[in-house]
Amino acid sequence: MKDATKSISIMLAAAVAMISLFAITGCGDEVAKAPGVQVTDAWMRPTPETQTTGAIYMKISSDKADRLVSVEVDKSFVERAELHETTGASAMENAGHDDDMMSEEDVSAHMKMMRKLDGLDIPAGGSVELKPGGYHVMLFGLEKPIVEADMIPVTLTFKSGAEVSVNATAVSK
Amino acid sequence: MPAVLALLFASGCGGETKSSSLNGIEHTPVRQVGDVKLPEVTESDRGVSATFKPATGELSIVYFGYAYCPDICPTTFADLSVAIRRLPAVRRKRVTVSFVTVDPKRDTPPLLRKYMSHFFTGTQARVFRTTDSKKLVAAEKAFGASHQTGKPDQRGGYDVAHTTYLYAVDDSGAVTLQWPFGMTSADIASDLKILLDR
Repeated sequence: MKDATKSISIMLAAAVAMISLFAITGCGDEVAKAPGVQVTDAWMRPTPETQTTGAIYMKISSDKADRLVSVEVDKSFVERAELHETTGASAMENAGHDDDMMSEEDVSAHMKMMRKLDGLDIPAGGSVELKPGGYHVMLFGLEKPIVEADMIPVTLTFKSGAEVSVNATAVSK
Repeated sequence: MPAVLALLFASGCGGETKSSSLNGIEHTPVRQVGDVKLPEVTESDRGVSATFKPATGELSIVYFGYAYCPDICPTTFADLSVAIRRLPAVRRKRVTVSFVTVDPKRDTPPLLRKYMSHFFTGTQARVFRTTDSKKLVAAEKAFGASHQTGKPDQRGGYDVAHTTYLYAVDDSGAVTLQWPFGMTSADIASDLKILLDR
């Protein structure tokens, strides 16, 4: 009877631990796992002391199709955070470019601009990378410059209801 | 020799070509920017008219961007900084980085100097700023660059769309090579070595 009670206690403890693992927010480089969605490698660059904007990059994977619908960073770090995409203007009239023979690669390297995104689809069984020159979490109104090894927590909310929090770490790359 | 290679790869009456050993792009016809003048920000934050032409045997890497930019510009300068640091000290001394702001309203002289010092320590860094939009556009045109200031949002913030090439200017005042955004620091470093050895 005693052994049975002990076994049940161990199983219960294990179950609690497993549930906690799903609910717990990440710290340091650990990944916060929510069912279906994984966020890894959240990073950002140290910023010049004059810069009030920043960008956070990461990789988002999901076994089921999902959609990132909002990003939040605590007000103690920034005024606000938004999901953005840096995008190239295609086939744009470009003063000074008097060439007819431009490869597609060159055209896409012309004027870059940013636009705010309402969301970002994550394909089933696939991943989307937020990286320089592409998708990123844009930070507005940094409270202080980001220095090497700094961490900023980001909370990502998905259409499925999943909420994932990760720490972006500042690295010079 | 590079000219012959460029001719072999050229696609017609004008265009951008890739020499077999260089990773960057050689624009044809070669852009001459030796006479382009813009106010350069000095130590005392004054603007003094200057050209981009480097001293004999040196290279000037020119970039049009803005300090408020969170993604493209910091990435470009981080990669360029790493590329320059890969060079041996003797070669490194022959490279200058010149930043031309396309957002003179927000990019004040002291802000720009601090911005450059974040990315380029031990490398000569020059900053150019003019509030005269005609002068800025003329300078951009000489390089084949351009920008477009976005509409302010409700908070008064705005983005600036801009071309994202790094331009290598040689001591004759010619844009000898240009690198599009995304070129790795290894590839830029490799090109820098070739250009400096010419």
